Amino acid sequence: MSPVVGKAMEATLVVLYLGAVTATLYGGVVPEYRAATGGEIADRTLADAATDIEAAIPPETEAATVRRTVEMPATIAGSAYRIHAKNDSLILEHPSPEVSTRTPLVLPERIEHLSGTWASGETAVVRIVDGPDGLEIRLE
Amino acid sequence: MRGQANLLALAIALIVVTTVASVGVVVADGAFTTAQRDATERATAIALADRIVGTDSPVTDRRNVLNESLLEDERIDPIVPTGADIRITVDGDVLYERGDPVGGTTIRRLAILSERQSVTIEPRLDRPVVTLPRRSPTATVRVDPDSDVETVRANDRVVLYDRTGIDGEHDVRLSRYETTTLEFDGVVDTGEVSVTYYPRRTTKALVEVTVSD
Repeated sequence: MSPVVGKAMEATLVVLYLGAVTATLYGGVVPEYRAATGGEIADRTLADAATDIEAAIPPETEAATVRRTVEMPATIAGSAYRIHAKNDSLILEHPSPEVSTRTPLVLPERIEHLSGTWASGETAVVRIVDGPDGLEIRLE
Repeated sequence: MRGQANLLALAIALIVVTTVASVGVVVADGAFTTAQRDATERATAIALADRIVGTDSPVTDRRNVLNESLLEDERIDPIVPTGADIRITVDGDVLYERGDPVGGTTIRRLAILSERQSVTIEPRLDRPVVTLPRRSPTATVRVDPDSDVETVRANDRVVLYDRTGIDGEHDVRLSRYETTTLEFDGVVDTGEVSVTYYPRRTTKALVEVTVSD
């Protein structure tokens, strides 16, 4: 065979190999890792948010109002997400189902009501005010 | 022939590169697995443990001091969050359990367990003075009606006085910070007066909270 054909075959082989490896990685391994990492980050973000909310609860006093800003990452796994409060737990909603998660909140008996939603990318504020039956926590 | 030798070398080189890449992926996977931490379980367990031994907990007198008479699961139930399996133990005894949190995260807190005891002494009253060996917030003084005691003093402060003679059982408040000496005026025979005081016994206790999602 002439050397040119030989070199051409080698070049083609290398290009095919690269194509095959890239397809394998991006088809199987990479999305799986992205979802798993996104899930871990979502878990930690939610745990941090829960800890911040629980730390913002004031001690037993006559009247108290608390307003505190909470930090959250702007996106998880490349998408925006929302955190909302329901039934004494926090739920993180994300387009990818493996990243969505929830965690219960540990609240004292003085807290009567918990509500509100945070959207990622906007300033997240937790506001605790005196309600008629007890303290109310609102996510704004 | 040289062309084919080159192809063979290329094929071997590509195989080597593939092997190295696979080893890299396996190492990364192992590193990722060890970095997984169950952050939400930890956050819940830490928050619950801190609430249990905190100031406004239903089972504590002050921060980090558990009151042994308040350690019941109905008292803890309002602050335990729903939605997870939880077990709370104090010194190994299960205080509260819901579900079976196998393989969950455990958080420990060291606290003090305080138990009130009740100790009664019938003083031998050659001199009508009794010093309580342990501090106690209150004491119950029982005086027989025919004993003729009119005044009872605690550390020179009058706590009971009846001009016609003290009779029956009376609770008196004592100083929490000083050792108290009770004085009964008048002549008293042994057995006519008894003092019950309530010292607190404190021991260290380990509170463990296990949460499984």
